Amino acid sequence: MSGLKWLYIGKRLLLLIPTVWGCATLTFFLLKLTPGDPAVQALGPKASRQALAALRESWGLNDPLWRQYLRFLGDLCTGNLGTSYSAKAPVSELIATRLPVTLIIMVLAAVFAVLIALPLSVWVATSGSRVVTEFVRVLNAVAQGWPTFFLGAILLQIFAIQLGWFPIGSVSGGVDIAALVLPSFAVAVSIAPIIIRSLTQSLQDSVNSEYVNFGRAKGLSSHAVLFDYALRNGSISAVSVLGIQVGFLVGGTLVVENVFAVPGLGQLLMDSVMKRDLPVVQTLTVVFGIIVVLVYLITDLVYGALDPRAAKRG
Amino acid sequence: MMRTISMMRRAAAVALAVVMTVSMAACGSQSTAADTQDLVVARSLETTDMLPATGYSNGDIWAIQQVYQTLTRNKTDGSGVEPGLAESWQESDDGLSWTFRLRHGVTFHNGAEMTAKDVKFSIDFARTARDDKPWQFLFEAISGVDVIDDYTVRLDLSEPWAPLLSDLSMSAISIMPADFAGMSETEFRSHPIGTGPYKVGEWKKGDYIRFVRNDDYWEKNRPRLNSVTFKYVADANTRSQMVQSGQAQIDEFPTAVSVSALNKTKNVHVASFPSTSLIWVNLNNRKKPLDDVHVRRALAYAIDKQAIVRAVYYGQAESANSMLSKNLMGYSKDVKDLQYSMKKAKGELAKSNAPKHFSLTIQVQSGDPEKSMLAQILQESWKELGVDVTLQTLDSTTVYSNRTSGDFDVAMFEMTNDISDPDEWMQYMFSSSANVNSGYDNPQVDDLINKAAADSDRATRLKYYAEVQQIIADEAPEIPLVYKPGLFAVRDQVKDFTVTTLGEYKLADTTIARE
Repeated sequence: MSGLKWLYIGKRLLLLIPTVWGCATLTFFLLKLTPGDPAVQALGPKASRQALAALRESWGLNDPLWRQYLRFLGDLCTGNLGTSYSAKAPVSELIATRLPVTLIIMVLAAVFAVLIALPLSVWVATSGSRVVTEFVRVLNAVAQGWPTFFLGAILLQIFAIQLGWFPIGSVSGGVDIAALVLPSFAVAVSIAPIIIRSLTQSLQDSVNSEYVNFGRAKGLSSHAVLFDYALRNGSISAVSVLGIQVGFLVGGTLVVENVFAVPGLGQLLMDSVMKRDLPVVQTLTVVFGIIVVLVYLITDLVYGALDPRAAKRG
Repeated sequence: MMRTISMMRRAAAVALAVVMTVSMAACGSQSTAADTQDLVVARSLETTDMLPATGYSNGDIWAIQQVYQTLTRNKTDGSGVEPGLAESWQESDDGLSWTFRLRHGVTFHNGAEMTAKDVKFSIDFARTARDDKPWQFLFEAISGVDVIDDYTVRLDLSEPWAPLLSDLSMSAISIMPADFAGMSETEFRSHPIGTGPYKVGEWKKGDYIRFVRNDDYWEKNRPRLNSVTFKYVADANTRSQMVQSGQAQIDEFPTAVSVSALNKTKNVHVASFPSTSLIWVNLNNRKKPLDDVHVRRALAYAIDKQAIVRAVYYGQAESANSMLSKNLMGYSKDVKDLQYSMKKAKGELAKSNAPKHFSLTIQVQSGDPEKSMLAQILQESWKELGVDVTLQTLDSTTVYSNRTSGDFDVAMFEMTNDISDPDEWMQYMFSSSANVNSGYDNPQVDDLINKAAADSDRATRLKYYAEVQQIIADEAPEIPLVYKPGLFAVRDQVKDFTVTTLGEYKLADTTIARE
């Protein structure tokens, strides 16, 4: 890689700082606006009023807001992520056990989404048949309208119960990829339609473009024209769509995690918000901010590899 | 250009290979649960804290009970206590000190023998107030713990305290090794050491906790399983599917609507155990017009509990006549509740000072289909009285916080008890300093509850408690709806699985047979 490219990556990584600060600050104040007392959640409804008051005091929740905010920023800068109110364990430990699940679902879902979207898009773009176009359009609409928990229940019924190919959740220790295949597939089905739409559109545009016609005129095989000319150009926009979709998956796979019993960051976020477990929620938003920025960076690098003009502009 | 093709092909090939390998791995032959005697329980709650004194949710308590034990333990039917780590006990004549004789030959999971100094350490830890110990109030009557000899401990009380033996069965006062066996408290929290039938094996927080057999357990031929895994599965449908597929053997709390389907599944049945669960309606007695007893009675009369049993619970619950669980000591079946009658409801309303039309808001916990159905039924029922009811869905933390701060009109809750003595329930639900904060304040009720706690005569206590229940039924500061049993979807191969009335899983006796 050229020095220019490293400079570009460095600049993008520097952007992490304001992004993370923005996420963290917004979350901090939103949580302060939310009703509900973390102490009630931590001690349970049977705790005495004195115990609740004492706990709020020891968590520093009675301090003025500006002091809480400064302390929060200070902790963030020094990497002190704190201790979960509910699990009473280091936040880093809670996140570390769930991060692999979320990352694997993100990657597998992206792979599955491409495996679903690519053949269907090529089929529509090259067949020119109205029946095929309509068929894929309907398939798209169904896939997008299908609630994930419903699709999830069906996938479990068929592949986990009837066929017994995959486990539901896992209790085998470590990260069990077998338990993550079905949830990743369910996620892929939900993000594939938007990729298919974008890819089909740009493929059709490329297939009808002058340079593809030129390739054909040059006597190249239709295969070579499709893969070397049309697909490379057509996939550029689809890559950014895929990147954005995968970015959304960070913490956005709650439903899938619940249905398939594979607790990842989504479930941790939801549980922590429900329990007003402020240290966990605040750390998670920072982690999400970092992952999203990195996913977008990778997307742009792939984009640049496909389209050298973009890399130069960057 | 060729590079692009080969890259894409390679990517596709790699992806396919990943999928294939993964599927193959999943298909590999596995030994059955009967061979390995490994039990998997799909649970609705997560285990987050296993330090007995600080763990508060049922997800914590039911895990703590597998690893730790207490001086007394609850009888299966919840009718009282039996010897646990204490073999016998003796109360002094003035009722101010109790002497406990400990069982010999009980060892902790680290091999050390349990003696009186461990008991003193544990009880002192549980009874010392600290801002993260939700159960400390149960042990406030204990004023001192003295080691008499290695196997004898004396507890001194500041006042005679009838519920003591029940309180000592609470998981929060479990016996731990003295000084946390040399660990720091934080370290010990994640590496529990008790005397129970199971030790903590692997604990993947937020996912599952595995208990493994304690080979040196003091009860002969127990436990019979090699391991028990509590797998946290938030989705009720997924929990049932895990039992149907044989991946878990027990599903904690299947929904009422799924019971008949589960019973029809081959090799699966739904077991129903008596429990202390009560579903009830909390009214804010401080707010107008709910401060008027006639308004509260009108609202109670307007609720058709039988219809609720059918529509919401599919017959898997029964209508409640008292605000005390029917499976707890002190429950009185003679309590006359305000049974469904629209005519009487309208009559009560006419006697009240309430305006002809008024409005109420019911706060409903989000993600709780049962409560939201109940809220809709209440809304329709009270509409007939001319009450305009709004439903407000909030997350459960907010509903509980509002209960403490008094920011509500009406809300619904489920109550279960942790000990066999009704004192905890009575204090918590009806006394004027109660944490449920219905705002109900009746000196006569306070007096009866306090007298009952100080009296050691069982018959007298029962009389006081019956009186409290009838007053509560008449004045309707809170309205009982239904008593719920504990439902579990269980594979037929699981033998001797019992859940006590107080919710403890008796897993030391359990085995798994061949299917």
